[in-house]
Amino acid sequence: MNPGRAATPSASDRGAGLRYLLLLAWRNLARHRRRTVITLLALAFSIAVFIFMDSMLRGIDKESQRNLVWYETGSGRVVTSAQHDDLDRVALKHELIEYRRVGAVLAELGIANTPRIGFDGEMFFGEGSLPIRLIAINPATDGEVFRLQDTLVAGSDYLEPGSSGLILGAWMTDDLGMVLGDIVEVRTRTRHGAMQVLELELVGTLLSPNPTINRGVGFVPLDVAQYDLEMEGVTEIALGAMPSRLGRPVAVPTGTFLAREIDRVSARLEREFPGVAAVGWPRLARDYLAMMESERSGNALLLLLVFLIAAVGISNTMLIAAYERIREFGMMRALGMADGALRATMVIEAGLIGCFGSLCGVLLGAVAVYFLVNQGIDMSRFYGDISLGYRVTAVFRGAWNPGTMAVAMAFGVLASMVIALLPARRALRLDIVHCLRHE
Amino acid sequence: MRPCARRLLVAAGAVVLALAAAVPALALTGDEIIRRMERHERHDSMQSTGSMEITDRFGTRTKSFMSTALGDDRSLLEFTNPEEAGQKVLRLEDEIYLYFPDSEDVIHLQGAALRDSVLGSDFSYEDMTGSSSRLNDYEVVLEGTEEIDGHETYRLRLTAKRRDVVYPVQVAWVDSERFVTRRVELFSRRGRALKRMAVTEFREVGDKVIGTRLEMSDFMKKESMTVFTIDDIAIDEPVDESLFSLEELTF
Repeated sequence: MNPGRAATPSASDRGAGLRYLLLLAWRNLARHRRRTVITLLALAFSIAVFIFMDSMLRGIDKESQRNLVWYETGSGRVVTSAQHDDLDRVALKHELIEYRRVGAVLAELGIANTPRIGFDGEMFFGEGSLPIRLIAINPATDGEVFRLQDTLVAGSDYLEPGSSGLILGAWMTDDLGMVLGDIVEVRTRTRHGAMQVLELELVGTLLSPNPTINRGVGFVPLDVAQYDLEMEGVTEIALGAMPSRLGRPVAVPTGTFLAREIDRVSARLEREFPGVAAVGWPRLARDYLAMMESERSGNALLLLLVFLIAAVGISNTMLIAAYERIREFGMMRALGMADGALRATMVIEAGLIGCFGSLCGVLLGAVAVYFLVNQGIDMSRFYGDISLGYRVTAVFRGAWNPGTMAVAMAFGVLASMVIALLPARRALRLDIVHCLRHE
Repeated sequence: MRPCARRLLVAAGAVVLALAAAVPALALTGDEIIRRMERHERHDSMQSTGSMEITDRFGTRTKSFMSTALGDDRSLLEFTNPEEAGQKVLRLEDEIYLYFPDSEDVIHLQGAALRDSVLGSDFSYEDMTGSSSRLNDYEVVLEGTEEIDGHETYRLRLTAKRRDVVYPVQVAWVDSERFVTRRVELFSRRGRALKRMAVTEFREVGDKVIGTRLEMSDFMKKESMTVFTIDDIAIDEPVDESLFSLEELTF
């Protein structure tokens, strides 16, 4: 043992020292109760806002995807190879003639499916006209893939095969002042390009959770469209929920599971129906997904801002707390307290505030998320039927995300501790006399 | 002779006379009438200036233009009114190219875009394409004669020979004296009347009679009308072929 050096403190000494510092920090927090509560609340509020915002944005994203699949695209689509190569321009000429046999094969694979024809036209009513997307559906099977029938808000009967019935989104009928029984004409083209006019009677209106459906889409019976458009087949077969190994079908398949299922369907169809291909919903909605990707960047920026506001709030309150106590630090240093111990006390104090503040923030955030998930926020007063790009109507709902809560908690604690280092360092740079004179 | 028998005799005589009067008119077949009509409508070349008055529920606006056409399949339309000055529409067979001078951009119209209207008028870009003889696309039946705006006309029903003809049915009224179109109505596959084109003014240019004022109305749109007026016209005169190229379009 080298007698010239101070003895290294033992583990029990270090433990006792840490306990002492913890106790000192706790007493300091208790002594400055008002300041502690204000700091803690500021931190809790920031964390709660962050969790709330994250939940809302995730909820919108998730619901958007679900509404896209359930009301617009299905899980995927079976189309001709020519259409598969040019999905941007859906054309009647890419006709899938053997749709009944293809449908039977899909059913064998355990995938619900329904034939459809999508075509564009100009709808004439009263004094004006507007472009409209029409989708011809088989009323008997469409419900196996899409949930449109459940959103019928007016009209007792769904589309009757062979009838000239038309179902429109409620936003559109409200805007146009249309009522059940109104007759409209739709100018379009046949499969071969000849002019055609469909005379249709409004038999129902839909109010779906997907604004695209409510705003500008109409539904007509498949057999009527086939006759008027001079088609024997359809433009697509929409796919429904996909079977999983766990037994329960996946209503909104994504990622590798979806890719694997689409490959499985494609492989089977290629063998039996050359010139027919399957495509998953992300490719059908790639414009929407690209827009969502850019929205996500914006959302990340928004969350970063909320994060920064939280960080500024924490640092501000910690700085004030430190400056208010410079005189106290001077006295403690004069009494022989080492700078390291003083720094550690401040960091522990900040860590305790961060811990309790973050915990309160997570609890507060969880309450807000619970409300958001179960009730949602009705933004119709602000947005009406303005498109925000999302496939959600005016009620914004949230989603649970425990990961965000854990990250927010850890951030609250760590940020508080790191931020506390700055004022501590500054206070310790002053000599003791200056500290004692500090007002 | 009893009065009743006399009346019958007079009526029969009238029918015979009416049929006799109609025989020269109906001696022509629908195809022959179309051929004679198209002699006035199809040229080796045509240069014109004029205007397009577009009326819809938002009001009336006028667009002026210069047009040059070579044969059946090449034409160049350049707008000269201040709002669209320099905008050009080039047609090469069934391809349409638009040139916008502000952005110096050329757009190739394809697919459904061909159905868009030209500057909000009742003409679509598609109406500007496919000017081959109607006899290639339609079966023509002469349905009789009718008087239109004080002129005797042949009423012809044109039914598409193929399913890819844009207007499956047309009814045309052709002046029985000058063999120029006085009116055309266009119908959908289901027989719904879509558009009416009426030619109300004509000008003799050489041995041809050219319609210089056309009124196009859309039966499905209320208060919709486009009046196409030709102020100056020259036909079958030499035209610089290089005008009809993408290079020249952007020059």
